[in-house]
Amino acid sequence: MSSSNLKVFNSLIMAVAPGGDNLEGLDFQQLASYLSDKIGIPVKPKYCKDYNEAMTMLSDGIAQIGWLGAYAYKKLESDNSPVVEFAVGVPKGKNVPFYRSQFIVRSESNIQILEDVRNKRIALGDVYSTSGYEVPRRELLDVGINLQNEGSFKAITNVANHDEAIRSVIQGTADVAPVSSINLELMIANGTINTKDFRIIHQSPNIPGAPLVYLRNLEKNLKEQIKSLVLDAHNHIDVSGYGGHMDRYVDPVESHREYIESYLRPQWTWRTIIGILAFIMIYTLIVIDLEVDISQLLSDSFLYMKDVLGRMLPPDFSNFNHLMLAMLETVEIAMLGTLLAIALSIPIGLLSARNIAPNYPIYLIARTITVFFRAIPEFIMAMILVIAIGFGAMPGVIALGFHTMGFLAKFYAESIEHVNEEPMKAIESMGASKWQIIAFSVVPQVIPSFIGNNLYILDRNIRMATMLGIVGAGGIGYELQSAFRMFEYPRVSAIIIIIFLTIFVIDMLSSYIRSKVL
Amino acid sequence: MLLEIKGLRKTFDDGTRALQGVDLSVKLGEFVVILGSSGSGKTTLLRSINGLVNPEAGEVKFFDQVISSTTLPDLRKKTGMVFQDFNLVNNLSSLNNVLTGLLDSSNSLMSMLYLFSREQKMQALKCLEMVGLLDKAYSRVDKLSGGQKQRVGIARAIIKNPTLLLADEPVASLDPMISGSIMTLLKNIGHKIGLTIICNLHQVDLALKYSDRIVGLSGGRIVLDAPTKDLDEEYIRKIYQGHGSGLFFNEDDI
Repeated sequence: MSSSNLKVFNSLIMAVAPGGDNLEGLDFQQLASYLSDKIGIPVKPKYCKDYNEAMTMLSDGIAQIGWLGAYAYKKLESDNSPVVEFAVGVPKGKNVPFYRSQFIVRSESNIQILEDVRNKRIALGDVYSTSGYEVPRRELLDVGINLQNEGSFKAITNVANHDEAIRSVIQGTADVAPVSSINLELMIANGTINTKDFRIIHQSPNIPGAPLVYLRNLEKNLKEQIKSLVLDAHNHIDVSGYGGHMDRYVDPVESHREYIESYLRPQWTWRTIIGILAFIMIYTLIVIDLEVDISQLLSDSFLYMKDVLGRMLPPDFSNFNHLMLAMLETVEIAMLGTLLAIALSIPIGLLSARNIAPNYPIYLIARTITVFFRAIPEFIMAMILVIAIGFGAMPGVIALGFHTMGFLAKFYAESIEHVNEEPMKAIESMGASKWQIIAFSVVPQVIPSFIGNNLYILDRNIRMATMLGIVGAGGIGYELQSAFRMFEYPRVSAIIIIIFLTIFVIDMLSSYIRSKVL
Repeated sequence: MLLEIKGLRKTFDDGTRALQGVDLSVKLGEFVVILGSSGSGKTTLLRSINGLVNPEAGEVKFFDQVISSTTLPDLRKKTGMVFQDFNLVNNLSSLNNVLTGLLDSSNSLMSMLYLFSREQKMQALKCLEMVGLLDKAYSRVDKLSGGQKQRVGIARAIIKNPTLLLADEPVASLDPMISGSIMTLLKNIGHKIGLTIICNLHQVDLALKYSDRIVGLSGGRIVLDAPTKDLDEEYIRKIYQGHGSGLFFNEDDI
């Protein structure tokens, strides 16, 4: 383009896409006359009947300046746009050039959340309208409602602009309408509508303010002149634009940066920070309440510990065979107890999994059983059983079995609840019965965690069974207890070493099994 | 020349001869599609470029510099990669996933606490805006759809301002409509920030629609290398039939 381009124009046309009913919400008159004065040729706003007309006027070169709404402008930008943005208006009383799309309903409406919009009567704007169509389309899609599918709604009313959309909700010809926050605030401000008459059920994230554009191929000096005049206009006149009075117009680059900045949030939310502080505080209070004194632990107790350890050494393995038999008994108690726990946990675990339990009461009963047995330590249970059925292995086995059933059933239920449901649906769709579904889709999926959990419980039960002897429930714990009572510390250390080695071997064995089967 | 590959060969331990002497040059700003069926060696070729696979013979030159273990870190700083299965960290937000692209230039202590500078976050948000996901910046990526996940993947790949973007079957896990929009996005971003893109595909229609140039790979050899405007589906079909490749299904096969 040559510099003589400027002389071609004896006037400049400003194509304005529809925003509201009239000039009131979309007043470029003052800005246009200010530009006319300064440039020396008339600048005339041309209010178009729809977005398409405004876009066509610009792409055909009939208009040189324009306001297209953010979405229509983006549309032009993507098709090798003939226009570029040069200024964005910041509405009066706001610091940022953004607005939102808001879904409004009548105050007495039963629509509470966006999902409720389905099968209602909706008023929609032009497909090129940003806050009246495009943004609402995305917001609705997020809740699974397709705006383009007419079946999603009871009726769709096409409205010419936001003001009409707002009116149709207030007057009851539509149940809901997505509208621009700018038009809504404007209609409240001038008293056309009353805030008591409607509710906002949902609002979109910030939408960047729609820019003023000019033709890309205008002469460079003219473009610079228009841009600097518009950005400076608020110092000389009362500027207005989409949404009525404007505080000022800003460079789109600046406005874009502010737009991105509006999405900045601290990496750690206040909730997380308060949570961490509360955690630290609670533990500080606990340490204070329990009078935990680390310095004392390090000085006095250390000496006593040294004394006790000194008396325990060297370990006395004189009745090694007897101790090994007792240890074997402990392992047997643990194994039998674990088997009992598994046998009990399979039915109870299935019934306490929400997706398998036949109904809620049964689920609740099964859950209560597991919580109950988890809550009673096996120690207490063994003590009671020793009184009831006498000394020996049996109270230990039963106590371990029932207590760890409480854990195991919970573990089973959790892994069943986390099963991928899709294969279940596939098998169900081919006509399998409930139990067949469980056998062919639940069982294969939970087998690895089933084995892992069982090995963990066995491991744990061996450790616990060594202690159960103390209350008379058989095994090596009984030997430990009597050695302590007789102050035979070298025997105590021998027993501890045997327990340690046994648990060590079992641990190796269970990790071997794990590595083979999992 | 941005990238020059000469005589690249790779045989895997199981005896698969993935690449059997591949020569390829890529100019700055090109959108090259490497077209081939699975097993044609295109993934191996792409991974040889950024050193995820070590070729046994041949060389890769990036900006006239032969890629070796010493020059590889520099190449990796200038390349981004997009994966078929997105390879995002599911429990993190989109923003944090994109920020992982900046970890190599972050303070390691601060980044361990997920703390990033304001500029880094602005940069990540801009990349998310570029892929149209700004409003999902704080959503966990496992809550996003497949197409949205790949958009996050693209944002992560471009946050370092790379010169070269390697995309390994970026749309193979997506439905056809979403595939089109992802390919359009890649092409537009390529234009916008002057990115060179090497993209593996097995769909002939997508290759014809979006690329500047198509390189056909079959059995670890280049069987076609031409500007896209000179090609059509019929021609590509003919070439591949001569190589017995499964790029197209013959009716006899089905």
